[in-house]
Amino acid sequence: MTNYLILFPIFFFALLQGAFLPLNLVLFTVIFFAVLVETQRVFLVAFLAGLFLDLGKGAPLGASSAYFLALSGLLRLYASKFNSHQPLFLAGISTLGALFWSKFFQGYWDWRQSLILGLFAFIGGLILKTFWISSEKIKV
Amino acid sequence: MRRKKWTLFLFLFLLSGLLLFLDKKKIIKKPKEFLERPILKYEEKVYGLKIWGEEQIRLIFRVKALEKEFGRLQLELQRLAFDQNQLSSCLEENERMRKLLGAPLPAKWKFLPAKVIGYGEKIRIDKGEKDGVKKGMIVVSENILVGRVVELGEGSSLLETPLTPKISLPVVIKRPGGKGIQARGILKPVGGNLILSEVLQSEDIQKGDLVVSGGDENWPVDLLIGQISDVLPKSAEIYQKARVNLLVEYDKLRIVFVVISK
Repeated sequence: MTNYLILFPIFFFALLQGAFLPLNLVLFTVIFFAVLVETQRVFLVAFLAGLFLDLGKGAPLGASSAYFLALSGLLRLYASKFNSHQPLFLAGISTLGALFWSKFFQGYWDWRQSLILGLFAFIGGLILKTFWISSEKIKV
Repeated sequence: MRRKKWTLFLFLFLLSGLLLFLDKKKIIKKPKEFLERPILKYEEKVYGLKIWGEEQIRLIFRVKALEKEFGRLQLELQRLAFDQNQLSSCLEENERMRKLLGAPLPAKWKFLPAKVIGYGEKIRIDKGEKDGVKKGMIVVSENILVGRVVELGEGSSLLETPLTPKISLPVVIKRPGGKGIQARGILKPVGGNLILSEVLQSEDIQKGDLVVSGGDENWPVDLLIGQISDVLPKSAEIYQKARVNLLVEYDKLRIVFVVISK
């Protein structure tokens, strides 16, 4: 249940994106959530995050949901075979995710925002890796 | 468990597709409007907060500079008082020129005031279909073109502006104080700047010239957009280019006017 609390920051990010923010923080959060939480809640959160973003940006309802779901699905598939906590992987998937999102929803390749998001994801990935490793060590 | 997970995925994916279809067909217009209403309210507040925040930050950085400026301005104030008489006559002349060149809006146009609630690649306003807004309607701020409605919601609309990526706006160039059209060209956004292109090398454009909408491709005629800030050095190309400064800052707009009838 506590996992669904992520919807609050997502809603807030959707508001920010709708009002002025060009950086796709909702996508960023969905990616990190999909990587960290390995249950079917990921899909529900991706779906709702998409709805929030569509409502916030005035886009056709369901479009972002489908995109986030597809991305979460791909992430889950990848995570079932490989380690999805790698900072480089997170940076890559965030950059590509944001890049294709800008192409589909804004009509052009927004390289700048996508690379910025990728950089954030890389830093986030490094932090995640550090904590992940520490928590694993504690467990051992 | 694994199967259940992918069943949920498939269900939600199909649900998204269904929502998209219903939204395109405008079948879920009312529930969408219902859901959008509180979000629009919050968004308006967030946008207002952003503008307020920007002003505060600018103010903080400017306080020191302003202190120095204060002393200088006091001296200048005395000089300005002396010039006041001259200025009043200049203002009168300026106003007349503005009316002449700034293409005052026709008296028969009817306007609908709208609040700006979002700014991105497009501007979002708080008026939509239920307020009588239609696709293609022009939006202005004073007598300056802001954009036109391209996407319509029940209680909000999205506008494309001259800064919206991939847009190319036919424009004409007028010289302040001059008569008639100086040149024709296309206005395009390039990396956050507005570039006037496709102006023949033979045509005379210079810094300070006014850029006015040309009236093709469903854009209105004679609405002010910007001013040439810099003519780019001539090259061997057939066309010359210039950088254009907008006359309004779109990301600071609070109220705009939708032209609901012409």
